[in-house]
Amino acid sequence: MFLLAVSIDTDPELLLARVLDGLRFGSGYGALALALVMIYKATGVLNFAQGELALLGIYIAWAFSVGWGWPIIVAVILAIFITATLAAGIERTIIRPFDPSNHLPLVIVTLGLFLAINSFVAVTWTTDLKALPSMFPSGNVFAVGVAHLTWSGLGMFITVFAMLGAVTLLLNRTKIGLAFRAVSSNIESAELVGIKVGQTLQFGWALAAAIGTLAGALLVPELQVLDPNVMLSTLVFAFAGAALGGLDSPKGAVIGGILVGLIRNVVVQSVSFIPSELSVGAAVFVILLVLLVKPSGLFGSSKVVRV
Amino acid sequence: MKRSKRCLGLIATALAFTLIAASCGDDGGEASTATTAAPATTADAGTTTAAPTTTEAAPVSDGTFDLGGGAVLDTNECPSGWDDTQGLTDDEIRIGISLPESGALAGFGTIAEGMQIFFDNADPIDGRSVTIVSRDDGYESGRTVTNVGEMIDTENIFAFSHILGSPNNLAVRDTLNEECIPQLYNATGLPNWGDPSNFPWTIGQLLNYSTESLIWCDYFASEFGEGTTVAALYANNDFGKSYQKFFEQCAPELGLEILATELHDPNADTVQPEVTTLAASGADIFVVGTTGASCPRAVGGARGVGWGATIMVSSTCQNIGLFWGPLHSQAAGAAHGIQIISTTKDIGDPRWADDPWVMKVRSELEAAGIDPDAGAQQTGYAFAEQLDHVLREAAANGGLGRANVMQASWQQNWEAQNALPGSTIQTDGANDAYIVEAGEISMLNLPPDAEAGSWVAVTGELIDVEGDLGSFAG
Repeated sequence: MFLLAVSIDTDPELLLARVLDGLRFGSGYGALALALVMIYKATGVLNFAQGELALLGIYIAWAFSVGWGWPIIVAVILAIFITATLAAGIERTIIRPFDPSNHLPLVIVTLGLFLAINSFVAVTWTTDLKALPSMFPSGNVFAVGVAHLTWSGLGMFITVFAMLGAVTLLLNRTKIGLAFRAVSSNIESAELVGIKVGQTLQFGWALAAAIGTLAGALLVPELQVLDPNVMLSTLVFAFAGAALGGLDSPKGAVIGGILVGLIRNVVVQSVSFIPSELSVGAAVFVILLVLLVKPSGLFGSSKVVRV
Repeated sequence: MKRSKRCLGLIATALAFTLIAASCGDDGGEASTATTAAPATTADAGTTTAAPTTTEAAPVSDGTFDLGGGAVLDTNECPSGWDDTQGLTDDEIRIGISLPESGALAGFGTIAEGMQIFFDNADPIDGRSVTIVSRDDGYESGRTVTNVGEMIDTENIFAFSHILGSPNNLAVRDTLNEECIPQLYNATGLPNWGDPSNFPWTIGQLLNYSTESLIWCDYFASEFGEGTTVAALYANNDFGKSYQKFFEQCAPELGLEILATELHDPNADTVQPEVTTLAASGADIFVVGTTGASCPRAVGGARGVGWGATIMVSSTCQNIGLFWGPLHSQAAGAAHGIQIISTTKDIGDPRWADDPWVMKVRSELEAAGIDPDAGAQQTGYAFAEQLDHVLREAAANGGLGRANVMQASWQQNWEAQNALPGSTIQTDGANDAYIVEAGEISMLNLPPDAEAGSWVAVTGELIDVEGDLGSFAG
């Protein structure tokens, strides 16, 4: 009989530390995944520039808070409004001219945006490392050995779920949310009942950029330092989270992101035969596995096709 | 003050053994890479010696140049049409460099700017100014190959200097040696660069990683005693694995116990998963064998989980403004007390506040509108001192020419102003193929309430293995 030799770390303090790390980083991935889902839900397109839009928002927040000395919360709120406005402008000028049913050109446009925004950030703020202040107090809620629950980690976790709740309310209890859901469901039908599809999609882009900026402002302080490269691998984990939770499910995005964080911090680190340096590879594996086994993800809606 | 003879002997013996073993054995990964980075400090222009007078190209009667130790540079093997003075105009020396101006190590992208500032403020060399032509490779070796090829074809390059990254330099080494174009002072500490017998057109500059690892071992054993426990984080590329290879060779020999080792993806957004695992080992010492943003992330992560280990970071992470200032802003005091092997004068160190070289660096960078305490321009400025010195030496002794510059590189004996007092730069071909071979253990003084930090000497001893390392080929 073949026995697979697998050793798993069982130190309870270490396990707790990894779980806390997983929840902390995972909630950040989940927040960015939520931004991805907002665009995908409306247009069926994965926005590869989502991470870089968040990056732009992070640097704007940095400029306001560190450069101008404004309180970090004020800086983040302003950055959210600026990136949301910018994203609405991008949708109107760069995205809308393309046929929404032809996804390939749109994906290429978002890839171009990815490169353009990254370069703009590097040129404007240089590639030197920077520090973005946290919106939460420093220190620990509790500490056991190497396991630390920080106030910033707890604050990020709660904020992400508050953000999910707000988005859910927005989509389900407001007129613009209703229009957004209608467009997400069927663009032609939405147009026929008088919904302004273009403006609704513009709202989706703005909302996604706002969510992404907040996600970045929450996550980056946990990464210690900020550089223009910071959202690249984060976006990979966010994609994995969105795929795992379901690409059209806001709730699935957040939960999927957290699960990816736990996979990266707990599973990859605890199981001896998985090299820890393959953490990004683990995210890609999750994406492949979900696409093969359950393409709609844990909470996504399955496509029903009339035959 | 020099370190004890016993320690030096041990280091030298171990170095010689490991370098020979590296050259003879399977150096696969390492030979194909290493990441790396740039040191950090400043250099001096002070060494800028008097302007040379000779203008004739080096005499190449039979086309061969004795580099020392039996290594020979033979220009008869160069391609037809090769020109010893290609890239020299009446008033310009054109130097190429490929750097990560984007990507994970983009913080090093301003090195070329610092080099240019140095030369803009220096006297002409043989009546010529130096122009630094820079290209962004994002730390991707494939792009380095493209950049170097394009610069050869279109930029009239005399020599390449301070290309950053081991994989990047390895990717272009064969081509540059076949084309007989100098590949000078690679900004990486891979031991492979000290191999004039096989690659006479390539030379490195930094303290090599094998030497650094062995100095770590010696320091840990002598200062903390046998049985000291160590946990180590390495970048998962040839740079990090080079540290790993040499450290894991010397640690057991000196009674150090390695409790845990983790490799990390150099492009990952965080190293916290790996650092948490290492912290749980409770080791006395945390070795950070990585570079770029991962340096402050590793230290911040370790302190964040309350790990009080002595932290030794790669010499590539010396630049306070680039790495430790941002971490200090994020987590005040987190980097206080970390240790490093310094090989150059840190321009933020109060010891050197009145040092002519440091004052020169500060004034010229400030005049160029650059904060001398931030960014990698100070590193580039320091790098330029080495290039400047050899160009002047070549011009004064035989004339500027590619072959003569290589001979001058392999036959050096001078004191750089950016280097620590007491250390000298000596090379002698295959007898002594490494430029920087001395350093001191320094500790970062950056307490929570400090506005700026500085490296301060821990023991005040200069650990100098000058001339003991031989060459990569043994």
